[in-house]
Amino acid sequence: MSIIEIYVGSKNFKKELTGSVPAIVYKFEDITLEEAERLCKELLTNPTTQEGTVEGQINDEKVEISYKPGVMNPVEESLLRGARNLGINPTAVGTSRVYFVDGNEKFLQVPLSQVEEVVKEKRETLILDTETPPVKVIKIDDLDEGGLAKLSKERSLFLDRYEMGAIQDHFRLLGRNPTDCEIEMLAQTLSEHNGHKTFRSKLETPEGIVKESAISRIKKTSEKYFEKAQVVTAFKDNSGGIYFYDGEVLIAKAETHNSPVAVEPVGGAETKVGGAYRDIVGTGKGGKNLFAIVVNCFGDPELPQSEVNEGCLHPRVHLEGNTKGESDYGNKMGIPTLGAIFHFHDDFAPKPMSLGVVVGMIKKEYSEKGHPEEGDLLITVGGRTGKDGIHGATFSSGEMTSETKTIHSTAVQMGNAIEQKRMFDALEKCRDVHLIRAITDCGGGGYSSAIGEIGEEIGVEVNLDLVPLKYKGLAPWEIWLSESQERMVVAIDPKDWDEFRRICEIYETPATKIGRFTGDKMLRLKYQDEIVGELSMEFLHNGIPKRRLEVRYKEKEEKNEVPYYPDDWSSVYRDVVGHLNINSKEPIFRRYDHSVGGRTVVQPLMGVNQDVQPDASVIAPIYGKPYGVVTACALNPNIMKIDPYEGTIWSFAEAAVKYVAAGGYIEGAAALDNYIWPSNTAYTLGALDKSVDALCLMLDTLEIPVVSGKDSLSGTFRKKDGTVIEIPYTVNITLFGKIPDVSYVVTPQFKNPGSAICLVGAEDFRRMGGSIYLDVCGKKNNNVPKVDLNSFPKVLKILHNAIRSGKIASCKAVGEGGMAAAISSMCFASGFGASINLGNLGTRADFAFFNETPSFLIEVESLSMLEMFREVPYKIIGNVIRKPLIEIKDETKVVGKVGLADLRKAWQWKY
Amino acid sequence: MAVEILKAPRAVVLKASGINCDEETSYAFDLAGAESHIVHINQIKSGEYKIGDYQIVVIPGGFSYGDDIASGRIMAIELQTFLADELMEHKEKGKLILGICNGFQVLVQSGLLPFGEITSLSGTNASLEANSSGHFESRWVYVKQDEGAPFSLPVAHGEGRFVSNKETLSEIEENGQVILRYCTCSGDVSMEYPYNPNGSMNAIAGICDQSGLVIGLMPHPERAVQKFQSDRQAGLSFLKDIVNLAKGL
Repeated sequence: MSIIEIYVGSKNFKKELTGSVPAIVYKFEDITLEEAERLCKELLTNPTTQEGTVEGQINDEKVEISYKPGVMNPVEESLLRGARNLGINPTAVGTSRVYFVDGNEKFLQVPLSQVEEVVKEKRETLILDTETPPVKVIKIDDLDEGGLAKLSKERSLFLDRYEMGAIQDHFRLLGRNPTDCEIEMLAQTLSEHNGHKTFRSKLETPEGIVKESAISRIKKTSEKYFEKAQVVTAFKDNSGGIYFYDGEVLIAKAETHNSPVAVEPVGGAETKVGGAYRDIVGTGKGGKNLFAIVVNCFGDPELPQSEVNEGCLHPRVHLEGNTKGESDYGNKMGIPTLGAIFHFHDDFAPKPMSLGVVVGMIKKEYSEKGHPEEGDLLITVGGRTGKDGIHGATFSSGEMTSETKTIHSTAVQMGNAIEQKRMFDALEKCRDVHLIRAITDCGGGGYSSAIGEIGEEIGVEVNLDLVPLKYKGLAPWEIWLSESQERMVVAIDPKDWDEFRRICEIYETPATKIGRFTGDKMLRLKYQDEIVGELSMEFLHNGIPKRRLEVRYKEKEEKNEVPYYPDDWSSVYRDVVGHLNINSKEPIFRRYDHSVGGRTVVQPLMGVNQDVQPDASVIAPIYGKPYGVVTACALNPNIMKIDPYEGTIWSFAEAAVKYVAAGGYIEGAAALDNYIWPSNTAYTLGALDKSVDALCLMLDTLEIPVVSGKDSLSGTFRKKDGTVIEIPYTVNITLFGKIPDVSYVVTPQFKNPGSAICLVGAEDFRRMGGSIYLDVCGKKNNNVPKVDLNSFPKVLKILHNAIRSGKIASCKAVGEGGMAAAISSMCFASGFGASINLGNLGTRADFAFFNETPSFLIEVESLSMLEMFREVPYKIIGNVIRKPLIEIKDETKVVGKVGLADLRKAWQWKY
Repeated sequence: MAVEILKAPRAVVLKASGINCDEETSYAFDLAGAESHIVHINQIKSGEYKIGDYQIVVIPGGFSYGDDIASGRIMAIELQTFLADELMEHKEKGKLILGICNGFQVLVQSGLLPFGEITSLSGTNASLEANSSGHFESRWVYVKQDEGAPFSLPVAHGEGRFVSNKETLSEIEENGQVILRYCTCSGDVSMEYPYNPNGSMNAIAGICDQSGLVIGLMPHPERAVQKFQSDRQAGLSFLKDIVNLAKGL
């Protein structure tokens, strides 16, 4: 047993001791020196740009960094394949990177991620196998309340005394104690992440009124509009869907991964989008992913290091790692990312928000959730199981503290997009020849959650010792709970096994029989013929009675500061477009593949300089057909923090204007809601209650159903001194829907100098609270803009008709940054300027320019086209001009003039 | 014989672990007049499909085998190990091999580009290295063929910077093997970012071997074949030229 190391770096890497460019070390166990020489030349070293050397030839001082043992390293599989193709068979392989320090220790500052370590001692073997720990019985029958609380804490179960008590009662009734498998499984099923306890609880107001749970209110309101939106599946599968065209159904899912991104941003973001993609494939009998939109909230990336809380990463590390994880994973999967929202707010510094929205498609005949039958085989497909990601579901449901990063680092995993891509390819083929009876994905809670769900109706028996492992030594409960990525479980008829396995082999995706569906409605776990867990499906899913939670409402503080009328418009304008929540995210968004798949209609970075983001994503999913899908997302933590009720209306309305501005048809659209809340105390639940009321009001106003939603109610960080930082209340609304023809879509790019610019919609100019303008002026104001819900649906409808009839040359949603930001986008995209008159709008010119009520700016070539808008509020505010400048008039006086180049410079992010 | 000539050339779009542009590439080839099939490399290894049945072999974009070790490396070793004879026979018969993006990287890693011979890694003469910007770039760029008019295609890659030693570079220039260069919208060949999105030597975006039968390029013609992608559908014209070359083979 010996490991041979091969160093590969750029030419002359041994002499260039810059430390910035590391060499890669490839490790092979049990090969000969001659074989190592061959691998170095024929597998590892590109003669044009690199040089390689077999160990023993480098004696310089160096710092070696590698993944911690057991962290998934996708390169290992390729090294084995490459070596075998050359006829060389190592027993194990590994990689690390080396910085030559030559006595200069400063390179030790190379940032390490949570999954990496500095190698201090050479390992003797790369093989990780250890002894398998035995199953333990957890004695709970005689524990008092304190004992139960202690047990919950020690095992990181995150269960409260009420839940622990219910579990104790159940096992007392059974006359035995639970095994570690059983108690861990119950904790996972009951976790906020999987159980959504808060969203399912009835709420009691201070006046003693009992309100239905958030989830049932949203469901009941939505059901009224199922027919209108042609809903095919909602609230019951891994994604929600509406009928499209040609027998296809559009399905969508949005999911956060906030806790993993907080502690290990790259892996957290990879597994976030990876999990959302699996939800699409885990829908019905297997959907297909079309594209993603990412929505992220971080703290200030320029935050001084001294202000970073102990136990937290710097917001910039969050931003960069999250970007790397999202883009790498999506790019490698070949799924385009068509939209990216990056929002910044100081309270997201300890715990960011990281959301992935994915839209997919599935044939109607495959869209029904499958039902396993008695005798069917339970198959695991995809990746192997390791210790990575144990307790992910429970950890993400708990409060984050200064110690979370260290204690729960095992909860985080790295993704392997290639493993997932070939699994999807294989499953799609299997589905098309009708081999899949039922399918679901392994996400939070791993097999425990996925198999518990797929076998819920009928019962299932699982042989944990048959699960393919990354290395020996996992306890049975660890196999059951591991959240190792890129795995799905499938139910198939035993007669289909040979064909299923044959297809999986072509695509090189492992498929293994690990159990069978029984018909006895029990969940039974075996390890080497011994029963290690046995719970009734009924107790597992409905055993803990739902609770009633108390809510309290906070009075809004009166704050009504406003800035003076600006004396330097150009400077204020530059500050607004340069604000972190308005400026160009092009430097980051450039790294995401926008065009893979060949379905992208509007370029996600469009315009003459390819740097303007359109309001929504538009794709044509079926090759050769004109049908389109429009998808828009909106959120506003600033307004939500001030007023969760108005903030929710604003977020929904903003999603709607973005959706319509990009060509979407509001009739027949469907929504996804994502609640990202600080905690579930009485006051935050009061805010949640108000927000759900506002959401339902918007569903009724626009006659749109929610078809899928998710909540994450653990956005707090407890500092070492005990004080708590809460994230702002955040709700992200996604609207998606179909259009018959992508050719009528308009973009925000001004088209013709001379044409008129109009503002369409009822602006609430009196309320400037929560705006970027007030933020840059340093004013506190709690009067947030109210959307006029009387005219709003009509505005959306008329605007859509105008776009569809080709009467509008360009269109842009007004939202954050107001008209000012919208006009600048239209100019940046076209290179043309604008002359704007803000007089006669019934308010101060600056209020008009920077007000953030959701509305539209449109470009029309002839004023006669405005005839269409006579039933809704609209105002002509100026003209497109050829000169690259924006001229602002207040009645007859020119108050500001700013060159486009000047403004663009302020807008470009010095990322 | 007349019937034979009218037949659409057959294109095999190779699939392998990590390749992800196979669907749109197949669709684009069909639009360009070919009859295309997506075939997994394992189905060729097993004999279920044969390279000999096709006039065009296409290695599409993606991240074959994760681009582990280096982009295209493992896929190139797969070609060397399992398909070298079939591919060389295909070429000797005057048939075409096209690599797009990751496919181009595979052709360079296997030696098929620039000099048309499958070699081991130590015998290769060029490389597609990490972009000068240090990261993945997704954007539309202008490219042109010789003195032709510039046209617009998307690129989406992290490793597209063409690099070779001086001798190789002058040899492929002298042989006229450079088929596409990055340029400005007015057609000036450019080394400047973002016109040249990756810092390629001599602004090289695509090359062929001496015979002209093995072609590789970083931009994605298959993503510019429909009206809504680009008014001029330059990618479709590019692929039609390739399909026309393969007619009657």
